[in-house]
Amino acid sequence: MRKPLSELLATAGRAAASQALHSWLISQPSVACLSSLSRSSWAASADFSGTAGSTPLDVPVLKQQQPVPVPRTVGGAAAGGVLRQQAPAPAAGGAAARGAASPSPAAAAAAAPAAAAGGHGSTVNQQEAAKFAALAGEWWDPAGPFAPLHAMNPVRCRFLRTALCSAFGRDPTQPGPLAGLSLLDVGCGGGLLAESLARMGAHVTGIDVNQGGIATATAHAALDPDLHARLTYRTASAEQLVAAGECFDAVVASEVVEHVASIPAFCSALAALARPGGGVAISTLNRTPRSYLAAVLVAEHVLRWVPPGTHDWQRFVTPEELAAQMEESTSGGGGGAPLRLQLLSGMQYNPVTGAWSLGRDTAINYIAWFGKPPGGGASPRVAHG
Amino acid sequence: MAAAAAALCRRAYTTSMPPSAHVDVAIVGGGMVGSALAAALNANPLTRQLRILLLDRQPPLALPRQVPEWDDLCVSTLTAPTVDILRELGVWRSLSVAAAPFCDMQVWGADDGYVRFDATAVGQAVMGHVLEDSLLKAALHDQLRARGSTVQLMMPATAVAADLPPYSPAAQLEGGSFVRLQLDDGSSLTTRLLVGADGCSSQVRQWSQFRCSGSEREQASLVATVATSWPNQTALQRFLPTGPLALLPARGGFSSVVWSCPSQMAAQLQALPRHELAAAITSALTSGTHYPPKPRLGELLGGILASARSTRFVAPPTVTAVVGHGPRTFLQTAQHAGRYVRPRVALVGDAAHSGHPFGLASQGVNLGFGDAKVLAAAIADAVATGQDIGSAAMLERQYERPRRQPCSAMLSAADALRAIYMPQEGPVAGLRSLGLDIVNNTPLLKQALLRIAMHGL
Ligand SMILES: Cc1cc2nc3c(=O)[nH]c(=O)nc-3n(C[C@H](O)[C@H](O)[C@H](O)COP(=O)(O)OP(=O)(O)OC[C@H]3O[C@@H](n4cnc5c(N)ncnc54)[C@H](O)[C@@H]3O)c2cc1C
Repeated sequence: MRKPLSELLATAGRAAASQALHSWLISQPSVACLSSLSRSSWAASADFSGTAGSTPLDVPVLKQQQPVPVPRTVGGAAAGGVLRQQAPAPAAGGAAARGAASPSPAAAAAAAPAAAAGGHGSTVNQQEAAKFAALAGEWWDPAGPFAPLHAMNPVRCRFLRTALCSAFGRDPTQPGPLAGLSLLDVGCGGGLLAESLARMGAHVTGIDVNQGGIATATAHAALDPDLHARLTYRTASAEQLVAAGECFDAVVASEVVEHVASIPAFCSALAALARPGGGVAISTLNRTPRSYLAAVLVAEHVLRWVPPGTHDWQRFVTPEELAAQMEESTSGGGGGAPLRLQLLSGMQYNPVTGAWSLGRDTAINYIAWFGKPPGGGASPRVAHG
Repeated sequence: MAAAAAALCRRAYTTSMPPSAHVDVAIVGGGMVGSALAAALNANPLTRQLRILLLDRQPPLALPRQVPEWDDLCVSTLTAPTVDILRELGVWRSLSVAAAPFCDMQVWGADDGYVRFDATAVGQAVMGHVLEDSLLKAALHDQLRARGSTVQLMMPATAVAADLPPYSPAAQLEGGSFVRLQLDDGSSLTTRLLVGADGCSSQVRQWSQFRCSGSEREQASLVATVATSWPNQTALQRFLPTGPLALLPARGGFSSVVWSCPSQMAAQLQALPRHELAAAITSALTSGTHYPPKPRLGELLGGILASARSTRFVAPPTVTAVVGHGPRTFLQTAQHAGRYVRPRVALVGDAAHSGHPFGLASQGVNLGFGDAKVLAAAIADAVATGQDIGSAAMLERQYERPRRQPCSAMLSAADALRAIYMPQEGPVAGLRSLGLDIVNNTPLLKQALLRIAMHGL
């Protein structure tokens, strides 16, 4: 259930919005003509501006953040919307947080006990899962249904490289800087991100509740003898891993949060899976008028990058909300010290070059790193360097 | 007198490879472009740890202790960006003594009208350098064999066949996803990325089944090193109806001649006694009813447009003798591959685009160095972000897309010049001299063309 467009336009300022629509209609329909609008014309666009400049690392416009004063209560009016607090999905609601495969009964069956076994309930939303399962398994076709993820992958990897190198004291100018780190890729799908992280030297465990994605990822990893040994894929949910007491140097959830049923529960699970001294990386879509235009109207309905109905805009979360959530879920849930937002970057698509880049503008896509303080004397495990 | 080529020591250099070895990058062709790519990959810490293999039919070259007295026939005009690349690769220091700098260039035709470009007009001291291809290759080969290099050289070795992975990722899941390369000694290896740097009749291009656009007609180029009545300091290029003739300033006051013409004519020229060839070159540069060309527009408009000295016609010197190994003829076809990349394959240099030697200075090798630089950067970026260095999407976005435009533009510019200069009759003949004249007398237009000549597009 989306807000009607007219309501959005009212929020945003009618003149600016109609100008946006105009340029969007006359030019090649693109995300960027929307993002080229002046930011100030969008009342609701989220921005952590006003903080320090860029890092000396290879991420161009990245903010090193001190813990920001974020609203403690989720859904504050300042954030421009209410984060939907959803009840955990029914136990039978297995399937994908993000994934693609035929909606096979086997997958659903396998996922069902998964959710039950978790004991914490599952954050996986049944309807959301069905939407993704309906996309056929063309994970590795850069021109296929996951083309946007393929295009975005180098950029999120650049961010993760910088974030992880700085968190674990690695030299980002060297090849394989993540050697020895254990990473968890939650909602790994066909393994696109997991393989890249493994190429940077990390030992990566990819989990997804969608068996089709896991099967694809496993088969694809087998093609590459260099990566094979550093990749493990499992059909599992984050909650299951928490229940099993597993822990990783860092946990990554890329383009997943917008599809889970309960963001608080999901964030708690991610936080619990990260080792003290490590952290959690999340990339997702912001909830702003521009992200509505870009991710829902343009990407789903005009460019048809992703099938209509892929995204539910109201489910999107702003960086402020996410930061509050990460902090809350750990301090409340007894998982040790709260995770703090340490790095944040926008990810922008340039329709002329077809390339993504990191930048200041977080109004549509953003990626964030939340550090988990080394609690109780425990230091991050920097395994076999 | 020690012949230049003999001074370049050739000897086989093969790093022994276990059978069915696997590498990350296999570069077929150790010419200037393939060698530069290997050196660039070796120079970057991100890519140095990759297993890089460079193979060529020929044994590697080594720089002679003493720079030979004159050019070894095949020379290239190197633009400033190319020199920058060579500097970054650490080979320019040993080459700069042998490279002949020039600061102006003059182009004229068989009719009136000419254009003269001067580097000082755009605030540069040097417009380009003329250097033998063999010395450049030797310096790169030396670099690749030096301590600290992790590049494996297989020279001589010939690639005879390749098994390329299919385009579809689903099919790759079935049939494996690396390239299998067969060598002439019966061995084979697999590689994550195969680079075709194997020149204008590229095998890699054929194996990739890339279509090629370009003329069927081969243009011959006769090359010779000559002595002149006074040291030539300007890159001279005269567009004759049969093709362009270039007299390029070379080391030690000698000049290099590149005379492009129909192959029959090249054969006749090559058969001439040396002193007659020298006379033929002089006469081709200076004869004709319109020689020396008059600046028509300049006369009309007087001193209004014509800015003083740098637009004056430079008379070419008389060619007094053909020195060195004597003339040789090369055949060239202008070709442009429809694609530069496919899964796990990339073409660089003449394999992707070879031009006929028309143009403000034949840009061939400069375009190739540009390819090598951009591809090396793309591979480094892929390593930095954990991407597969053989991914077609990455190669297309990071290498092919940025390279195709400048390469096409340069090839079309050469085509346009060819179209203007090849026909002899009709209004075009009048137009072309007028055209050159307008260029010569319009500072802004001239500067724009000069920048293209010096820096590429
Ligand atoms: C007469 C002439 C004059 C020129 N003048 C200029 C100039 O003034 N300025 C300029 O910029 N450019 C000039 N050019 C163009 C320039 O020489 C080329 O652009 C340049 O040499 C291209 O380099 P390359 O490395 O791509 O290919 P090449 O130099 O052709 O190298 C290809 C290499 O691949 C090897 N090879 C091929 N097939 C195989 C195989 N199957 N297995 C193993 N090895 C293989 C060959 O042995 C060769 O060493 C001129 C060209 C000619 C012919």
